[in-house]
Amino acid sequence: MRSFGFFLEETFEGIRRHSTSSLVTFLQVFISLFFLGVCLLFIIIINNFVGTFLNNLQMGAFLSDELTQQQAVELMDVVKKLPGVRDVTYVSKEEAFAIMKQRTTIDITDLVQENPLPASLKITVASPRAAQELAGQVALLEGVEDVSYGEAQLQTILPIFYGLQITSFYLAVVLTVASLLTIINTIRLAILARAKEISIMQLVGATPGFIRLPFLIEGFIYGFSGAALALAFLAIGYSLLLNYVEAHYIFNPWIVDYDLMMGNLAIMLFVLGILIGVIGSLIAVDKNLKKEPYHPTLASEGATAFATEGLT
Amino acid sequence: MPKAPNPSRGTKLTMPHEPVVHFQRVSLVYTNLVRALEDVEFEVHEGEFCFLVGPTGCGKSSLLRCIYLSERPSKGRIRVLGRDITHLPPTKVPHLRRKVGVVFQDFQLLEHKTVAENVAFSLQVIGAPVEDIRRKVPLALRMVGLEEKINMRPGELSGGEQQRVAIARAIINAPPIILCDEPTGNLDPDTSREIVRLLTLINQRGTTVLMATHDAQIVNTFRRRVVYIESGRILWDRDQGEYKIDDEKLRLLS
Repeated sequence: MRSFGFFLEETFEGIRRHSTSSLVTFLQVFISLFFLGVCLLFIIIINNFVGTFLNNLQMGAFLSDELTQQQAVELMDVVKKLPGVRDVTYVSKEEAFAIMKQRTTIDITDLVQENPLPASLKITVASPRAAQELAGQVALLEGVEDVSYGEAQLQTILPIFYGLQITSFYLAVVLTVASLLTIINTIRLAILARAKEISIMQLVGATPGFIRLPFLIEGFIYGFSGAALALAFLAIGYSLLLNYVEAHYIFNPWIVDYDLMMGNLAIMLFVLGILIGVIGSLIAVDKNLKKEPYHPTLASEGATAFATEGLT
Repeated sequence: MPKAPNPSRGTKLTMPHEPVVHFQRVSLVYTNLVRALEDVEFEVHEGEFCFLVGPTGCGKSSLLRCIYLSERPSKGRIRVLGRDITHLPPTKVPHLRRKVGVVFQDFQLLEHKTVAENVAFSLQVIGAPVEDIRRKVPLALRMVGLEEKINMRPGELSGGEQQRVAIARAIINAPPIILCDEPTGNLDPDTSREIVRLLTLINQRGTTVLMATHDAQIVNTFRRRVVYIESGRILWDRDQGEYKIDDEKLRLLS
Protein backbone atom coordinates (compact mmCIF):
# COMPACT_ATOMS: atom_id res chain seq x y z
CA MET A 1 0.00 0.00 0.00
CA ARG A 2 1.70 3.14 -1.23
CA SER A 3 0.18 5.56 1.24
CA PHE A 4 0.70 3.44 4.35
CA GLY A 5 3.98 5.23 5.00
CA PHE A 6 2.14 8.52 4.92
CA PHE A 7 -0.38 7.32 7.49
CA LEU A 8 2.36 5.97 9.71
CA GLU A 9 4.09 9.37 9.58
CA GLU A 10 0.76 11.10 10.21
CA THR A 11 0.16 8.86 13.24
CA PHE A 12 3.54 9.51 14.84
CA GLU A 13 3.28 13.20 14.02
CA GLY A 14 -0.13 13.24 15.73
CA ILE A 15 1.20 11.45 18.81
CA ARG A 16 4.18 13.81 19.00
CA ARG A 17 2.09 16.93 18.56
CA HIS A 18 -0.46 15.88 21.18
CA SER A 19 2.32 14.49 23.36
CA THR A 20 0.60 15.20 26.68
CA SER A 21 -2.70 13.63 25.78
CA SER A 22 -0.89 10.75 24.06
CA LEU A 23 1.19 10.13 27.18
CA VAL A 24 -1.92 10.19 29.36
CA THR A 25 -3.65 7.74 27.04
CA PHE A 26 -0.63 5.45 27.01
CA LEU A 27 -0.38 5.53 30.83
CA GLN A 28 -4.11 4.93 31.14
CA VAL A 29 -3.90 1.89 28.87
CA PHE A 30 -0.82 0.67 30.72
CA ILE A 31 -2.39 1.06 34.17
CA SER A 32 -5.65 -0.59 33.10
CA LEU A 33 -3.80 -3.50 31.54
CA PHE A 34 -1.44 -3.77 34.50
CA PHE A 35 -4.27 -4.17 37.00
CA LEU A 36 -6.06 -6.48 34.64
CA GLY A 37 -2.80 -8.44 34.44
CA VAL A 38 -2.47 -8.62 38.25
CA CYS A 39 -5.99 -10.01 38.48
CA LEU A 40 -5.36 -12.43 35.63
CA LEU A 41 -2.23 -13.59 37.42
CA PHE A 42 -4.17 -14.49 40.54
CA ILE A 43 -6.94 -16.01 38.48
CA ILE A 44 -4.38 -18.23 36.74
CA ILE A 45 -2.92 -19.24 40.10
CA ILE A 46 -6.34 -20.06 41.55
CA ASN A 47 -7.34 -21.99 38.46
CA ASN A 48 -4.09 -23.87 38.40
CA PHE A 49 -4.39 -24.76 42.07
CA VAL A 50 -8.01 -25.82 41.86
CA GLY A 51 -7.38 -27.65 38.62
CA THR A 52 -4.38 -29.50 40.01
CA PHE A 53 -6.32 -30.48 43.08
CA LEU A 54 -9.38 -31.65 41.22
CA ASN A 55 -7.41 -33.56 38.62
CA ASN A 56 -5.34 -35.39 41.17
CA LEU A 57 -7.96 -36.40 43.66
CA GLN A 58 -7.00 -39.84 44.91
CA MET A 59 -8.91 -42.58 46.54
CA GLY A 60 -7.44 -45.40 48.56
CA ALA A 61 -9.01 -48.86 48.37
CA PHE A 62 -7.54 -50.90 51.22
CA LEU A 63 -7.18 -54.54 50.46
CA SER A 64 -7.69 -57.54 52.68
CA ASP A 65 -4.47 -59.18 53.91
CA GLU A 66 -5.67 -62.50 52.56
CA LEU A 67 -5.40 -61.29 48.99
CA THR A 68 -2.39 -62.62 47.09
CA GLN A 69 -0.37 -60.33 44.88
CA GLN A 70 -1.81 -62.09 41.83
CA GLN A 71 -5.38 -61.48 43.02
CA ALA A 72 -4.54 -57.87 43.77
CA VAL A 73 -3.31 -57.33 40.20
CA GLU A 74 -6.52 -58.88 38.83
CA LEU A 75 -8.57 -56.62 41.08
CA MET A 76 -6.60 -53.66 39.77
CA ASP A 77 -7.64 -54.53 36.22
CA VAL A 78 -11.30 -54.61 37.28
CA VAL A 79 -11.04 -51.23 38.97
CA LYS A 80 -9.28 -49.75 35.95
CA LYS A 81 -12.33 -50.48 33.83
CA LEU A 82 -14.77 -48.70 36.13
CA PRO A 83 -16.10 -45.37 34.80
CA GLY A 84 -14.50 -42.26 36.29
CA VAL A 85 -11.15 -43.91 36.95
CA ARG A 86 -8.12 -42.26 35.42
CA ASP A 87 -5.34 -44.33 36.86
CA VAL A 88 -4.75 -47.10 39.36
CA THR A 89 -1.50 -48.07 41.07
CA TYR A 90 -0.87 -50.91 43.48
CA VAL A 91 0.78 -50.11 46.79
CA SER A 92 2.01 -53.20 48.60
CA LYS A 93 2.18 -53.54 52.39
CA GLU A 94 5.94 -52.96 52.27
CA GLU A 95 5.68 -49.87 50.12
CA ALA A 96 3.00 -48.42 52.38
CA PHE A 97 5.23 -49.00 55.38
CA ALA A 98 8.19 -47.36 53.64
CA ILE A 99 6.11 -44.28 52.83
CA MET A 100 4.90 -44.11 56.40
CA LYS A 101 8.48 -44.35 57.69
CA GLN A 102 9.53 -41.55 55.40
CA ARG A 103 6.80 -39.23 56.60
CA THR A 104 7.40 -39.67 60.30
CA THR A 105 10.45 -38.23 61.94
CA ILE A 106 10.78 -40.79 64.71
CA ASP A 107 11.88 -44.33 63.97
CA ILE A 108 8.73 -46.40 64.09
CA THR A 109 10.44 -49.74 63.46
CA ASP A 110 11.11 -49.93 67.18
CA LEU A 111 7.47 -49.38 68.04
CA VAL A 112 5.86 -51.94 65.76
CA GLN A 113 7.00 -55.52 65.41
CA GLU A 114 4.82 -56.29 62.46
CA ASN A 115 3.76 -54.15 59.51
CA PRO A 116 0.22 -53.01 60.42
CA LEU A 117 -0.54 -51.34 57.13
CA PRO A 118 -2.72 -53.01 54.49
CA ALA A 119 -1.88 -53.19 50.82
CA SER A 120 -3.97 -50.73 48.78
CA LEU A 121 -4.96 -49.56 45.34
CA LYS A 122 -4.32 -45.87 44.73
CA ILE A 123 -7.09 -44.70 42.38
CA THR A 124 -6.82 -41.34 40.63
CA VAL A 125 -10.33 -40.07 40.05
CA ALA A 126 -11.18 -38.39 36.75
CA SER A 127 -13.84 -36.13 38.21
CA PRO A 128 -14.41 -35.37 41.88
CA ARG A 129 -18.14 -35.24 41.20
CA ALA A 130 -18.14 -38.97 40.45
CA ALA A 131 -16.02 -39.82 43.50
CA GLN A 132 -18.87 -40.84 45.78
CA GLU A 133 -20.45 -43.24 43.32
CA LEU A 134 -17.11 -44.71 42.41
CA ALA A 135 -16.23 -45.25 46.08
CA GLY A 136 -19.46 -47.21 46.51
CA GLN A 137 -18.71 -49.42 43.54
CA VAL A 138 -15.13 -50.13 44.63
CA ALA A 139 -16.22 -50.93 48.19
CA LEU A 140 -18.48 -53.70 46.88
CA LEU A 141 -15.62 -55.50 45.13
CA GLU A 142 -14.37 -58.67 46.75
CA GLY A 143 -11.10 -58.25 48.61
CA VAL A 144 -11.64 -54.53 49.28
CA GLU A 145 -12.04 -53.84 52.97
CA ASP A 146 -12.46 -50.12 53.02
CA VAL A 147 -12.44 -47.10 50.70
CA SER A 148 -11.30 -43.66 51.77
CA TYR A 149 -11.09 -40.40 49.87
CA GLY A 150 -11.51 -37.77 52.55
CA GLU A 151 -15.19 -37.39 51.71
CA ALA A 152 -15.93 -35.06 54.62
CA GLN A 153 -13.20 -32.60 53.65
CA LEU A 154 -14.15 -32.86 50.01
CA GLN A 155 -17.77 -31.91 50.74
CA THR A 156 -16.57 -28.69 52.34
CA ILE A 157 -13.81 -27.77 49.96
CA LEU A 158 -15.41 -28.62 46.63
CA PRO A 159 -18.10 -25.88 46.60
CA ILE A 160 -15.45 -23.36 47.63
CA PHE A 161 -13.19 -24.39 44.76
CA TYR A 162 -15.97 -24.31 42.19
CA GLY A 163 -17.06 -20.94 43.55
CA LEU A 164 -13.53 -19.61 43.27
CA GLN A 165 -13.29 -20.76 39.68
CA ILE A 166 -16.58 -19.17 38.65
CA THR A 167 -15.92 -15.96 40.58
CA SER A 168 -12.49 -15.54 39.05
CA PHE A 169 -13.93 -16.05 35.58
CA TYR A 170 -16.57 -13.36 36.06
CA LEU A 171 -14.02 -11.08 37.68
CA ALA A 172 -11.87 -11.36 34.56
CA VAL A 173 -14.84 -10.53 32.34
CA VAL A 174 -15.84 -7.51 34.44
CA LEU A 175 -12.27 -6.21 34.57
CA THR A 176 -11.83 -6.59 30.84
CA VAL A 177 -15.01 -4.64 30.16
CA ALA A 178 -14.01 -1.97 32.70
CA SER A 179 -10.60 -1.44 31.16
CA LEU A 180 -12.17 -1.46 27.69
CA LEU A 181 -14.46 1.39 28.71
CA THR A 182 -11.66 3.39 30.33
CA ILE A 183 -9.43 3.04 27.30
CA ILE A 184 -12.20 3.84 24.81
CA ASN A 185 -12.98 6.99 26.73
CA THR A 186 -9.36 8.10 26.85
CA ILE A 187 -8.84 7.48 23.15
CA ARG A 188 -12.11 9.25 22.41
CA LEU A 189 -10.83 12.36 24.16
CA ALA A 190 -7.52 12.14 22.32
CA ILE A 191 -9.34 11.97 18.99
CA LEU A 192 -11.69 14.79 19.91
CA ALA A 193 -8.67 17.09 19.73
CA ARG A 194 -8.34 16.16 16.06
CA ALA A 195 -11.90 16.77 14.98
CA LYS A 196 -10.69 19.46 12.57
CA GLU A 197 -8.40 17.05 10.76
CA ILE A 198 -11.22 14.55 10.42
CA SER A 199 -13.52 17.29 9.14
CA ILE A 200 -10.99 18.42 6.52
CA MET A 201 -10.39 14.85 5.42
CA GLN A 202 -14.13 14.41 4.93
CA LEU A 203 -14.35 17.65 2.95
CA VAL A 204 -11.62 16.78 0.48
CA GLY A 205 -13.24 13.40 -0.15
CA ALA A 206 -11.23 10.95 1.93
CA THR A 207 -13.11 7.67 2.37
CA PRO A 208 -13.97 6.62 5.94
CA GLY A 209 -11.46 3.79 5.67
CA PHE A 210 -8.66 6.24 4.98
CA ILE A 211 -9.78 8.52 7.77
CA ARG A 212 -9.87 5.65 10.25
CA LEU A 213 -6.46 4.29 9.35
CA PRO A 214 -4.15 6.66 11.27
CA PHE A 215 -6.35 6.38 14.35
CA LEU A 216 -6.39 2.59 14.10
CA ILE A 217 -2.61 2.62 13.98
CA GLU A 218 -2.60 4.91 17.00
CA GLY A 219 -4.98 2.64 18.91
CA PHE A 220 -2.80 -0.33 18.02
CA ILE A 221 0.30 1.49 19.30
CA TYR A 222 -1.41 2.34 22.61
CA GLY A 223 -2.64 -1.23 23.06
CA PHE A 224 0.66 -2.83 22.12
CA SER A 225 2.95 -0.54 24.12
CA GLY A 226 0.60 -0.52 27.12
CA ALA A 227 0.50 -4.31 27.12
CA ALA A 228 4.29 -4.55 26.72
CA LEU A 229 5.00 -2.26 29.68
CA ALA A 230 2.33 -3.92 31.84
CA LEU A 231 3.84 -7.30 31.01
CA ALA A 232 7.33 -6.09 31.93
CA PHE A 233 6.10 -4.94 35.35
CA LEU A 234 4.19 -8.17 35.87
CA ALA A 235 7.25 -10.24 34.92
CA ILE A 236 9.36 -8.45 37.51
CA GLY A 237 6.59 -8.72 40.12
CA TYR A 238 6.01 -12.41 39.54
CA SER A 239 9.69 -13.35 39.66
CA LEU A 240 9.98 -11.45 42.96
CA LEU A 241 6.97 -13.36 44.27
CA LEU A 242 8.45 -16.69 43.15
CA ASN A 243 11.79 -15.90 44.81
CA TYR A 244 10.04 -15.01 48.02
CA VAL A 245 7.93 -18.16 48.02
CA GLU A 246 10.90 -20.39 47.23
CA ALA A 247 12.92 -18.84 50.03
CA HIS A 248 10.20 -19.15 52.66
CA TYR A 249 8.10 -22.19 51.82
CA ILE A 250 9.28 -25.63 50.85
CA PHE A 251 5.88 -26.85 49.81
CA ASN A 252 3.95 -24.62 47.40
CA PRO A 253 1.32 -26.50 45.42
CA TRP A 254 -0.30 -23.35 44.07
CA ILE A 255 2.70 -21.88 42.32
CA VAL A 256 2.67 -21.67 38.52
CA ASP A 257 5.84 -22.07 36.53
CA TYR A 258 7.29 -18.67 35.54
CA ASP A 259 7.49 -19.31 31.79
CA LEU A 260 4.02 -20.79 31.67
CA MET A 261 2.58 -17.86 33.62
CA MET A 262 4.30 -15.23 31.48
CA GLY A 263 3.32 -17.01 28.29
CA ASN A 264 -0.33 -17.03 29.34
CA LEU A 265 -0.24 -13.42 30.49
CA ALA A 266 1.56 -12.26 27.34
CA ILE A 267 -1.06 -13.79 25.06
CA MET A 268 -3.96 -12.43 27.10
CA LEU A 269 -2.56 -8.92 27.58
CA PHE A 270 -1.39 -8.42 24.00
CA VAL A 271 -4.61 -9.75 22.52
CA LEU A 272 -6.78 -7.73 24.91
CA GLY A 273 -4.59 -4.61 24.72
CA ILE A 274 -4.47 -4.47 20.93
CA LEU A 275 -8.14 -5.39 20.61
CA ILE A 276 -9.15 -2.75 23.14
CA GLY A 277 -6.91 -0.10 21.56
CA VAL A 278 -8.13 -0.74 18.03
CA ILE A 279 -11.80 -1.08 18.97
CA GLY A 280 -11.58 1.97 21.23
CA SER A 281 -10.19 4.19 18.49
CA LEU A 282 -12.65 2.78 15.94
CA ILE A 283 -15.59 3.68 18.17
CA ALA A 284 -14.14 7.12 18.82
CA VAL A 285 -13.43 7.94 15.15
CA ASP A 286 -16.78 6.67 13.99
CA LYS A 287 -18.48 8.96 16.46
CA ASN A 288 -16.69 11.84 14.71
CA LEU A 289 -17.35 10.45 11.24
CA LYS A 290 -21.08 10.54 11.89
CA LYS A 291 -20.91 14.31 12.14
CA GLU A 292 -21.06 16.17 8.86
CA PRO A 293 -17.91 18.15 8.09
CA TYR A 294 -17.87 21.86 8.69
CA HIS A 295 -21.36 21.87 10.00
CA PRO A 296 -22.22 24.71 12.37
CA THR A 297 -24.32 23.54 15.27
CA LEU A 298 -28.01 23.75 14.63
CA ALA A 299 -28.43 25.92 17.71
CA SER A 300 -26.25 28.68 16.29
CA GLU A 301 -27.96 28.38 12.91
CA GLY A 302 -31.29 28.90 14.63
CA ALA A 303 -29.86 31.75 16.64
CA THR A 304 -28.58 33.63 13.57
CA ALA A 305 -31.88 33.11 11.79
CA PHE A 306 -33.65 34.50 14.79
CA ALA A 307 -31.24 37.41 15.11
CA THR A 308 -31.79 38.36 11.49
CA GLU A 309 -35.51 38.26 11.93
CA GLY A 310 -35.17 40.46 14.96
CA LEU A 311 -33.16 43.00 12.98
CA THR A 312 -35.61 43.22 10.13
CA MET B 1 -22.13 29.71 -20.85
CA PRO B 2 -22.05 25.96 -21.45
CA LYS B 3 -18.89 24.65 -23.00
CA ALA B 4 -18.17 21.29 -24.59
CA PRO B 5 -17.78 18.69 -21.85
CA ASN B 6 -14.28 17.75 -20.93
CA PRO B 7 -13.81 14.19 -22.23
CA SER B 8 -11.45 13.34 -19.36
CA ARG B 9 -14.33 13.58 -16.91
CA GLY B 10 -16.00 10.45 -18.22
CA THR B 11 -19.32 9.80 -19.84
CA LYS B 12 -21.40 9.86 -16.67
CA LEU B 13 -20.79 13.54 -16.15
CA THR B 14 -22.24 16.63 -17.75
CA MET B 15 -23.90 16.24 -21.07
CA PRO B 16 -23.81 19.39 -23.25
CA HIS B 17 -26.17 22.05 -21.92
CA GLU B 18 -26.96 20.14 -18.79
CA PRO B 19 -26.40 22.32 -15.70
CA VAL B 20 -23.52 21.28 -13.41
CA VAL B 21 -25.72 22.08 -10.43
CA HIS B 22 -29.45 21.73 -10.65
CA PHE B 23 -31.85 22.24 -7.72
CA GLN B 24 -35.38 21.05 -8.39
CA ARG B 25 -37.87 22.40 -5.84
CA VAL B 26 -35.50 21.78 -2.97
CA SER B 27 -36.59 22.35 0.60
CA LEU B 28 -34.46 21.86 3.67
CA VAL B 29 -35.89 21.78 7.16
CA TYR B 30 -33.58 21.22 10.10
CA THR B 31 -34.53 18.92 12.93
CA ASN B 32 -35.20 21.97 15.10
CA LEU B 33 -37.78 22.97 12.44
CA VAL B 34 -35.76 25.91 11.14
CA ARG B 35 -36.61 26.18 7.44
CA ALA B 36 -33.26 26.74 5.75
CA LEU B 37 -34.42 26.38 2.15
CA GLU B 38 -37.89 26.51 0.69
CA ASP B 39 -38.79 25.35 -2.77
CA VAL B 40 -35.48 26.38 -4.31
CA GLU B 41 -35.31 26.07 -8.09
CA PHE B 42 -31.83 26.87 -9.31
CA GLU B 43 -29.40 26.00 -12.11
CA VAL B 44 -25.71 26.70 -12.59
CA HIS B 45 -24.05 25.92 -15.91
CA GLU B 46 -20.54 24.84 -16.57
CA GLY B 47 -18.08 27.72 -16.48
CA GLU B 48 -20.39 30.10 -14.66
CA PHE B 49 -19.38 32.39 -11.81
CA CYS B 50 -22.31 32.96 -9.53
CA PHE B 51 -22.73 35.02 -6.35
CA LEU B 52 -25.26 33.89 -3.77
CA VAL B 53 -26.24 36.90 -1.70
CA GLY B 54 -28.61 37.66 1.13
CA PRO B 55 -28.59 38.46 4.83
CA THR B 56 -26.86 36.23 7.35
CA GLY B 57 -28.83 33.07 7.96
CA CYS B 58 -30.83 33.37 4.75
CA GLY B 59 -29.87 29.91 3.53
CA LYS B 60 -26.80 30.58 1.34
CA SER B 61 -24.57 28.22 3.32
CA SER B 62 -27.30 25.60 3.53
CA LEU B 63 -27.63 25.69 -0.24
CA LEU B 64 -23.88 25.16 -0.68
CA ARG B 65 -23.87 22.37 1.91
CA CYS B 66 -26.54 20.55 -0.08
CA ILE B 67 -24.19 20.45 -3.07
CA TYR B 68 -21.39 18.65 -1.23
CA LEU B 69 -23.93 16.64 0.76
CA SER B 70 -23.09 17.90 4.18
CA GLU B 71 -26.84 18.32 4.20
CA ARG B 72 -29.56 16.26 2.56
CA PRO B 73 -32.64 18.07 1.26
CA SER B 74 -35.94 17.30 2.97
CA LYS B 75 -37.80 17.64 -0.33
CA GLY B 76 -36.95 17.98 -4.01
CA ARG B 77 -34.02 16.73 -6.09
CA ILE B 78 -30.47 17.90 -6.59
CA ARG B 79 -28.38 17.01 -9.62
CA VAL B 80 -24.66 17.71 -9.57
CA LEU B 81 -22.43 17.09 -12.59
CA GLY B 82 -25.21 15.23 -14.35
CA ARG B 83 -25.95 12.90 -11.51
CA ASP B 84 -28.86 12.83 -9.10
CA ILE B 85 -27.20 13.10 -5.70
CA THR B 86 -30.37 13.44 -3.62
CA HIS B 87 -30.08 9.89 -2.36
CA LEU B 88 -26.42 9.28 -3.14
CA PRO B 89 -25.29 6.43 -0.86
CA PRO B 90 -22.89 7.55 1.89
CA THR B 91 -20.11 5.40 0.44
CA LYS B 92 -20.18 7.49 -2.75
CA VAL B 93 -20.14 10.87 -0.99
CA PRO B 94 -16.30 11.04 -0.80
CA HIS B 95 -16.11 10.63 -4.58
CA LEU B 96 -18.57 13.49 -5.08
CA ARG B 97 -16.49 15.69 -2.77
CA ARG B 98 -13.36 15.08 -4.82
CA LYS B 99 -15.14 16.83 -7.70
CA VAL B 100 -16.37 19.76 -5.60
CA GLY B 101 -13.78 22.03 -4.01
CA VAL B 102 -14.84 23.99 -0.93
CA VAL B 103 -13.46 27.19 0.62
CA PHE B 104 -14.64 28.67 3.91
CA GLN B 105 -14.57 31.95 5.76
CA ASP B 106 -12.24 30.58 8.44
CA PHE B 107 -9.83 28.87 5.98
CA GLN B 108 -9.92 25.47 7.75
CA LEU B 109 -6.16 24.97 7.59
CA LEU B 110 -4.11 22.69 9.83
CA GLU B 111 -1.91 24.95 11.93
CA HIS B 112 0.86 22.41 12.45
CA LYS B 113 1.40 21.80 8.75
CA THR B 114 3.24 24.01 6.32
CA VAL B 115 1.55 25.58 3.33
CA ALA B 116 2.75 22.79 1.03
CA GLU B 117 1.76 20.10 3.52
CA ASN B 118 -1.71 21.57 3.92
CA VAL B 119 -2.23 21.44 0.17
CA ALA B 120 -0.63 18.01 -0.19
CA PHE B 121 -2.78 16.67 2.67
CA SER B 122 -5.91 16.69 0.53
CA LEU B 123 -4.20 14.48 -2.05
CA GLN B 124 -2.54 12.21 0.49
CA VAL B 125 -5.74 11.36 2.30
CA ILE B 126 -7.42 10.23 -0.90
CA GLY B 127 -4.47 7.95 -1.63
CA ALA B 128 -2.96 9.87 -4.55
CA PRO B 129 0.43 8.62 -5.75
CA VAL B 130 3.49 10.47 -4.47
CA GLU B 131 4.55 11.55 -7.98
CA ASP B 132 1.15 13.17 -8.48
CA ILE B 133 1.47 15.06 -5.21
CA ARG B 134 4.98 16.28 -6.04
CA ARG B 135 3.83 17.53 -9.41
CA LYS B 136 0.49 19.08 -8.46
CA VAL B 137 1.27 20.89 -5.18
CA PRO B 138 3.76 23.42 -6.64
CA LEU B 139 1.44 24.02 -9.59
CA ALA B 140 -1.52 24.80 -7.35
CA LEU B 141 0.59 27.05 -5.13
CA ARG B 142 1.93 28.93 -8.15
CA MET B 143 -1.64 29.38 -9.35
CA VAL B 144 -2.56 31.17 -6.11
CA GLY B 145 0.74 33.06 -5.99
CA LEU B 146 2.26 31.45 -2.90
CA GLU B 147 5.20 29.60 -4.45
CA GLU B 148 7.60 31.49 -2.20
CA LYS B 149 5.85 30.67 1.06
CA ILE B 150 5.48 26.92 0.74
CA ASN B 151 7.40 26.19 3.92
CA MET B 152 5.61 28.66 6.15
CA ARG B 153 2.87 27.72 8.55
CA PRO B 154 -0.63 29.26 8.47
CA GLY B 155 0.14 31.25 11.62
CA GLU B 156 2.91 33.12 9.78
CA LEU B 157 0.65 34.16 6.92
CA SER B 158 -1.83 36.99 6.50
CA GLY B 159 -5.52 36.22 6.26
CA GLY B 160 -5.50 36.68 2.51
CA GLU B 161 -2.55 34.33 2.12
CA GLN B 162 -4.22 31.72 4.30
CA GLN B 163 -7.30 31.90 2.11
CA ARG B 164 -5.05 31.40 -0.94
CA VAL B 165 -3.71 28.21 0.66
CA ALA B 166 -7.29 27.04 1.17
CA ILE B 167 -8.07 27.84 -2.48
CA ALA B 168 -4.97 25.96 -3.63
CA ARG B 169 -6.17 22.97 -1.61
CA ALA B 170 -9.64 23.25 -3.14
CA ILE B 171 -8.39 23.32 -6.75
CA ILE B 172 -5.61 20.76 -6.50
CA ASN B 173 -7.83 17.92 -7.68
CA ALA B 174 -8.98 20.09 -10.59
CA PRO B 175 -12.62 19.91 -9.50
CA PRO B 176 -15.24 21.07 -12.04
CA ILE B 177 -16.96 23.09 -9.30
CA ILE B 178 -15.69 25.27 -6.46
CA LEU B 179 -17.99 26.35 -3.64
CA CYS B 180 -16.95 29.33 -1.54
CA ASP B 181 -18.83 30.09 1.65
CA GLU B 182 -18.13 33.72 2.60
CA PRO B 183 -14.48 33.39 1.55
CA THR B 184 -13.88 37.11 2.17
CA GLY B 185 -15.77 37.29 5.45
CA ASN B 186 -12.59 37.65 7.52
CA LEU B 187 -10.66 39.85 5.09
CA ASP B 188 -10.30 43.59 4.49
CA PRO B 189 -11.80 45.06 1.29
CA ASP B 190 -8.54 45.13 -0.73
CA THR B 191 -7.63 41.56 0.17
CA SER B 192 -11.20 40.50 -0.50
CA ARG B 193 -11.00 41.87 -4.03
CA GLU B 194 -7.73 40.03 -4.63
CA ILE B 195 -9.23 36.76 -3.45
CA VAL B 196 -12.28 37.15 -5.69
CA ARG B 197 -10.01 38.13 -8.58
CA LEU B 198 -8.14 34.87 -8.04
CA LEU B 199 -11.45 33.01 -8.07
CA THR B 200 -12.39 34.66 -11.37
CA LEU B 201 -9.02 33.57 -12.80
CA ILE B 202 -9.76 29.99 -11.77
CA ASN B 203 -13.21 30.41 -13.27
CA GLN B 204 -11.69 31.53 -16.58
CA ARG B 205 -9.93 28.19 -16.80
CA GLY B 206 -13.33 26.50 -16.93
CA THR B 207 -14.12 25.84 -13.29
CA THR B 208 -17.64 26.69 -12.19
CA VAL B 209 -17.55 28.96 -9.11
CA LEU B 210 -20.38 29.45 -6.64
CA MET B 211 -19.67 32.03 -3.98
CA ALA B 212 -21.89 32.93 -1.05
CA THR B 213 -21.29 36.42 0.28
CA HIS B 214 -23.04 39.38 1.83
CA ASP B 215 -20.37 41.80 0.68
CA ALA B 216 -22.24 44.18 -1.68
CA GLN B 217 -19.02 45.96 -2.69
CA ILE B 218 -17.49 42.73 -4.02
CA VAL B 219 -20.64 41.76 -5.87
CA ASN B 220 -20.95 45.16 -7.49
CA THR B 221 -17.28 45.33 -8.46
CA PHE B 222 -17.23 42.02 -10.30
CA ARG B 223 -20.65 42.13 -11.95
CA ARG B 224 -21.44 38.47 -12.34
CA ARG B 225 -24.63 36.51 -12.00
CA VAL B 226 -26.27 37.27 -8.66
CA VAL B 227 -28.84 35.09 -6.90
CA TYR B 228 -30.58 36.79 -4.01
CA ILE B 229 -31.82 34.54 -1.22
CA GLU B 230 -33.90 35.53 1.74
CA SER B 231 -35.51 33.29 4.36
CA GLY B 232 -34.57 30.24 2.33
CA ARG B 233 -36.19 31.42 -0.92
CA ILE B 234 -34.61 32.70 -4.10
CA LEU B 235 -36.16 36.13 -4.57
CA TRP B 236 -34.33 37.15 -7.72
CA ASP B 237 -31.63 35.89 -10.08
CA ARG B 238 -29.90 38.31 -12.52
CA ASP B 239 -26.94 38.16 -14.87
CA GLN B 240 -24.36 40.87 -14.18
CA GLY B 241 -26.49 41.78 -11.21
CA GLU B 242 -25.98 44.34 -8.53
CA TYR B 243 -26.63 43.89 -4.87
CA LYS B 244 -27.67 46.85 -2.82
CA ILE B 245 -28.34 46.59 0.83
CA ASP B 246 -31.26 48.90 0.08
CA ASP B 247 -32.83 46.13 -2.00
CA GLU B 248 -33.47 44.19 1.16
CA LYS B 249 -35.04 47.12 2.94
CA LEU B 250 -37.22 48.07 -0.04
CA ARG B 251 -38.42 44.53 -0.34
CA LEU B 252 -39.25 44.36 3.31
CA LEU B 253 -41.27 47.56 3.13
CA SER B 254 -43.33 46.48 0.18
